[in-house]
Amino acid sequence: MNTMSMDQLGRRARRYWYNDGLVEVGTAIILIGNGLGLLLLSLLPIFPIIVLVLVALVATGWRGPGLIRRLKESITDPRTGYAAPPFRPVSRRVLKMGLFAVIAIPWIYTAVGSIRENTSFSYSGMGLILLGGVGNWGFAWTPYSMTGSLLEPIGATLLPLMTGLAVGAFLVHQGHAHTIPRFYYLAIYSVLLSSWVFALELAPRQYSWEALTLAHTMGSYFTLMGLVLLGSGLLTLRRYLRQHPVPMEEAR
Amino acid sequence: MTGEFRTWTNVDRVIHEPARLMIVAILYAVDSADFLYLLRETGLTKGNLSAHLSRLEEAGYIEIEKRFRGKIPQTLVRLTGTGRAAFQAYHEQLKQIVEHMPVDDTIRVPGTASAPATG
Repeated sequence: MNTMSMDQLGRRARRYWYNDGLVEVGTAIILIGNGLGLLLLSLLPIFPIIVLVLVALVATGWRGPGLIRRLKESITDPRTGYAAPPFRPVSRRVLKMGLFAVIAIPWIYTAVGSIRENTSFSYSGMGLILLGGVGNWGFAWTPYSMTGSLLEPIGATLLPLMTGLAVGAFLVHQGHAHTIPRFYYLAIYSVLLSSWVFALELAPRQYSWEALTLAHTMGSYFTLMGLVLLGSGLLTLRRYLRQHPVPMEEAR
Repeated sequence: MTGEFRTWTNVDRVIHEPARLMIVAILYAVDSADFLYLLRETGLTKGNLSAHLSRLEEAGYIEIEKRFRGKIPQTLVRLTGTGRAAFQAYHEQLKQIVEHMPVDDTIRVPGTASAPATG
């Protein structure tokens, strides 16, 4: 064994989780699903779109993490083995809450805004509040009064920029903590993309409803971020598969 | 042998063996790992790894779970609380030994470069 420190050993084990690119692919699917759902909602705020959104949320949010695990079981584990990263329960909870916030806030904001601005849309809006919670991260109920009072001062304008900066900061942190340089590039892209989306939002409004404007900008951010994340994940996966062919003999 | 020097020989022999130290250090950094991961990370042979895992299991430092994922058998290895504590104690002990080890930098070893300048 060389003179690898415990810290380096820990980093190596945690980095292993990202070696195959499947986490990026899975996260990208969730982002693209939500992004397209928001874009569709902003373009066609009608009932069939709500049904499509329901399918997208349940499929990507609820089933997504399980899909990543199953992909890892069939692709990664037979090639290089399985190692569970040492996430502490607290950090896992914080991570889950962060992801929930990034994904669910625009949904909730759109729903709350649509209820206020157009009463005929209120049923679908209320449905989205529940879907944003149940579909994505297992939150059974998000109190309407809390979301209303919390989101009101934030406003729709700054949310895409704040999301892009938060995602960028998270990627920089992960890249630094696990020594993964590609995360730095993704972080830069996230900040640039959210700045561009923010600039677009400052232009004359395309929609009369502020909530639908947010659905459009956040949908654009999620979709474009998801596509690049998907590309990064697939390239990483291709390199991983080339470097690690399936062993002829089962080592277990 | 003085009391201080005697502590040098009191290190945990189960962990002190290089291959087992490597296994425990890897398991310390993860929640759990399977046999294939350990095989790749340590570079040991299957037989060697199995023998060392058995020794660590006997000492109560690791727990081994054999299970199936679909049709594929998987041997999952996890460091126990005892193993984690033993590794931390070993790490501390080794650190103290190294810190108190007398090293004279001025002594020149034959065949090596000149000793570092003093003063």
